[in-house]
Amino acid sequence: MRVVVAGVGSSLHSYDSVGLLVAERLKHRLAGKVDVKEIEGDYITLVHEIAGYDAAIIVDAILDECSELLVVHIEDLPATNFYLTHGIDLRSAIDMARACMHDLPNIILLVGIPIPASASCEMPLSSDILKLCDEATSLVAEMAEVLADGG
Amino acid sequence: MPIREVVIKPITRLEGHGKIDIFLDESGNVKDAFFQVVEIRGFERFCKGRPVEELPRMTPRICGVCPWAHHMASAKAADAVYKAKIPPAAEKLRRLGYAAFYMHDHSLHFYALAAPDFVVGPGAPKSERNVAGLVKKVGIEIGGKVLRALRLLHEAREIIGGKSISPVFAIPGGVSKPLTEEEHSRLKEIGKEVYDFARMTLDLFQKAVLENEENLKLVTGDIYYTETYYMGLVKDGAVEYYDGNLRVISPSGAEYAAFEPERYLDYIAEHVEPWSYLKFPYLKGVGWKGIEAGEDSGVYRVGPLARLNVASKMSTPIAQEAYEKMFETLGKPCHHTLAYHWARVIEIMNCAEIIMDLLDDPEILSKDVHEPPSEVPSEGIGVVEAPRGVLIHHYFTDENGIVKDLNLVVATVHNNAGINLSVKRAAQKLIQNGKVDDRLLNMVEMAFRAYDPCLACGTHAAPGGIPLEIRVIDSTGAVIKVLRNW
Repeated sequence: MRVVVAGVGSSLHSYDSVGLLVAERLKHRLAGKVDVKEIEGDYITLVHEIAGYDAAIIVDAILDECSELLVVHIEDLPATNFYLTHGIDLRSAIDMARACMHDLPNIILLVGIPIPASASCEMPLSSDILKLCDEATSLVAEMAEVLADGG
Repeated sequence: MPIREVVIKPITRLEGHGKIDIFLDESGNVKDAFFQVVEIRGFERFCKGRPVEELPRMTPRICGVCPWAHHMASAKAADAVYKAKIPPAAEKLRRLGYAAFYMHDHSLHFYALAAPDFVVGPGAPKSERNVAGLVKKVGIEIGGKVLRALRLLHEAREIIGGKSISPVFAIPGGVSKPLTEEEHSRLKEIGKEVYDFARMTLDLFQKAVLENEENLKLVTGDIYYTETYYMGLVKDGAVEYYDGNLRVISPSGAEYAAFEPERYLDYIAEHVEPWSYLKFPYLKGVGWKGIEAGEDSGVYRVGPLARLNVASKMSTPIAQEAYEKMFETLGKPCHHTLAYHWARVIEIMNCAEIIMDLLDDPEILSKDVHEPPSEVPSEGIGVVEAPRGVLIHHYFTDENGIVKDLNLVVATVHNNAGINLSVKRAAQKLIQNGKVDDRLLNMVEMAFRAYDPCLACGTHAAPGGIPLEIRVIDSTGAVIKVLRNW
């Protein structure tokens, strides 16, 4: 099974960079088995980057006060109905792509790393968030390897 | 490993929020309405103390949606800091990448945010008034073409800019690499396809909006109508995105000013209101008279409609035909806020034609794309038209090119007063006798959405998009209705 891990975020925005951080750590660990991509852009870009694979694991920051990782099939995300002031949200991008493209992965999982609403982009990553990044790295590596082996 | 159920939360790159507060009087009619931005993260602080040549790579990260606009304005400001003249081929490559970015940005806004209102309908349930609903209405074939065009434009940006999202190619004195023959061939293929896509978009707008009585009434009616000044770049009289002079026209269409962008401080001042982090730029010569429309108020607007209003033509033939049709229908200057969408679609066509013209120009393959700067750096101003309007980067450096201070004036800030006026007008026309529902609030939001505002850029906030909340407050101060976009 062709698997891609897509870490999403912005490299200059501390708390929004966690998806990229996890992807960076996984590049060597999964080399030769799974493609790992770092994506700084909107969700339409993401959709194009995961097209052509059988399975995709998206790693991204989510706004949440919880201290645990969120793992969810993309289809189980609520239909958000929400507009960004411009741009398009993840679920809508996937829905549109599912309707119009033939090569989107059958399996798309989201691993969300929760960041509190009070977090500032200028602040360094806290030890709690770094710990969650460690957990996400291990979890995504395990999931990606299982999927790549056909599981 | 802890795993839990999903909860309703927006996913990432949402920070702070924009807010529209609508205040009702005792009769339930709209007394006032304010668009507020209550979050700020000053991006400028990241930039101070950095070598100026780093800024064209840093400032695109202000926003994941507008990176090329900041890249271009920043590169032009850095050119100016070093008093560098760039080779003609470098300018053409910058224009080529910028046109691809414009097409991508405008298309995403039109299909994802604007078209659902027109095609699915402003009164449709929220669960259907989105891109998935749009695809259902227009069909999978068109939806597929939209996604394919966005993908191709993404590829074009990557070929030209090194990276699609945060380009790394414009540098002081030119660009970092010439185009290869192979890249040129691929871009020609892409150019042909996105040209057809632009024609399709013009046709779709014609059918979905102009040939639909209800939609045409919305565009030409008085709900979305605000008379202001307009400002935009013009070159040889035509709509311009990368260079040229700034031209300002009055609400009656008379030329108020035309000046080199470097003189922007002679014409623009900024007013501050305590209730919003977004400043209110205005025309110095007219003065700040509050958030008011008309000849006597210094409020001006920028963006697609403003660009078409201040220019006398488009630079390419198909876009010119569409331009003439728009102003024949709406009059010139056009004060209909929803015509921002029409202007946006015309610019998609214009950019598709520009891409083809530039790719047919043999100089685009020149290897002479960089002239190393040799002057002592000091101060520089770079101005481009971002898709949302005039974008100004103004840098001050020491003699080693280290940034000491900078000023970024972005499109959404220029439009701040205009957005407030448009939202208030729409609210006053739509909400009467205390009757408020989701449909009406969406129609109020349409006034806001027409500007395609970027609050991340507006506040220089990090990161990315910002949620919007609309609140309706009755005469006792009680919040009687809330609509959130998250």
